[in-house]
Amino acid sequence: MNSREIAKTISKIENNELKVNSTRNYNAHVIGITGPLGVGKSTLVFQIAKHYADAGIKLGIILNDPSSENGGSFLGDRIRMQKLCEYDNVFIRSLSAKDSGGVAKISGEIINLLEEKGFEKIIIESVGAGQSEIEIANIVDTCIVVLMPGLGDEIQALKSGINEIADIFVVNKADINQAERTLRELEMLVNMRGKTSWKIPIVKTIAIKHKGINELIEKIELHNDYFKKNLTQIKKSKLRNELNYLIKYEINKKIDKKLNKLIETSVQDIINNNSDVNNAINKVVDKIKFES
Amino acid sequence: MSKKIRILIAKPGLDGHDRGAKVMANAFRDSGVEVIYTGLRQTPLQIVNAAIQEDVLVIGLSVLSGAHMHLCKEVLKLLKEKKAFDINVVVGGIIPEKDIKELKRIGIKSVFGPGTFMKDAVEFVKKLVK
Ligand SMILES: Nc1nc2c(ncn2[C@@H]2O[C@H](COP(=O)(O)OP(=O)(O)OP(=O)(O)O)[C@@H](O)[C@H]2O)c(=O)[nH]1
Ligand SMILES: [Mg+2]
Repeated sequence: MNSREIAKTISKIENNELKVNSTRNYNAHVIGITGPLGVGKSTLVFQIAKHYADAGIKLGIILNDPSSENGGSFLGDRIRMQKLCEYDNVFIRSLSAKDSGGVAKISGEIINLLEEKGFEKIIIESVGAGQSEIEIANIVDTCIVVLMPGLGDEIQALKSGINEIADIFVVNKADINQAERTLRELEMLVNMRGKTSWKIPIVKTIAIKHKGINELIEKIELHNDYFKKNLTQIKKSKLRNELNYLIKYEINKKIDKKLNKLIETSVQDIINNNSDVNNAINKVVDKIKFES
Repeated sequence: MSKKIRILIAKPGLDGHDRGAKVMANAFRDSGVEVIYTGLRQTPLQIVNAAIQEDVLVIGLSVLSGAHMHLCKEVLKLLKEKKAFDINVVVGGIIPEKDIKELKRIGIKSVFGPGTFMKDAVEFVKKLVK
């Protein structure tokens, strides 16, 4: 594998100098790992990756960390991947994600590139923002949502969101208190979905001690089978979501500036008693021309 | 949009302190650079492979252990072997004067001692882009 060439191509995509084919061929299995800050996502990525790497599978890993306001970033997920750096069949790339959605916007393009280059498994870690991690689900085949004990409120807050995106739940750090409680809360959440063709499994792990990893791998492979069997159907719905996200992203970018000005005017109007909220909204919506 | 500057900061060797490396990493981040931080106790092979995969402009090695000569030689050798000798290597740490010359002779681009202001290190790296 020519790592250098792949790495350079990724940089070109990052710098907007290159567009790659943006449709998947689904030869690879893409696994996403998401969840709140510090729950052990990177440690889990390492354990899962090591399993596949030892089996000789050609493996790509994409690690997302947040970028700071000035464009700089401290990408630290790689600290947990040290041992994987000596494998010839593993390629790891860190990305800074400044857009919402938990992953850098070019993640999808990089997945396509790696798939085209013959990678068999691709693992992608999202930033641990805790919210708005929805986007990752659209670009992966198997989406793993990682939680840990003691996140009670977090589970409440994420209820609607993560239930939609999770294919597998992991309760990591099962060595600390209240793991059973988190497990039960998740079970309730899963049961609330009613009857579905894929029942979301919940796996308990202690990533730092390699506990529960084999069971997790087993569930990942089961889901891959399910995914491949239902590809036509799932592909459609993922594509729908992905387009929805990307189109809205572009539209937002386009109207943001315009909108700020219109909002300023509306605020003045309302304050001066020349308008009210409903009126102002209608006026603004009328003013933005979506046809262009 | 200007091109991103990506650098990799690693702390090879056996001693377990990475405060210096982290200070360096944060200074670069604050100046708008993308820093890939790979942590403690890295082998030269891990560092070079990571630098290639991350397509960085610069590898910053933080060394305190006194093993700088050996580590730097090894990193440069591997870069050459893997046809990635265009990646710049700089070193931060406590390095005796007489070794600095030798390090530069074998291909280390710059050495930043404990007295170096981080500002200078950042400036130096930014100049390498041009
Ligand atoms: N007790 C315990 N600690 C763990 C376990 N797994 C990971 N950790 C620790 O949790 C901390 C965070 O682990 P990471 O793997 O970096 O977590 P992360 O979710 O990737 O973090 P971010 O990317 O910063 O959101 C580290 O100190 C790990 O050693 C576990 O099973 N049990
Ligand atoms: Mg992480």
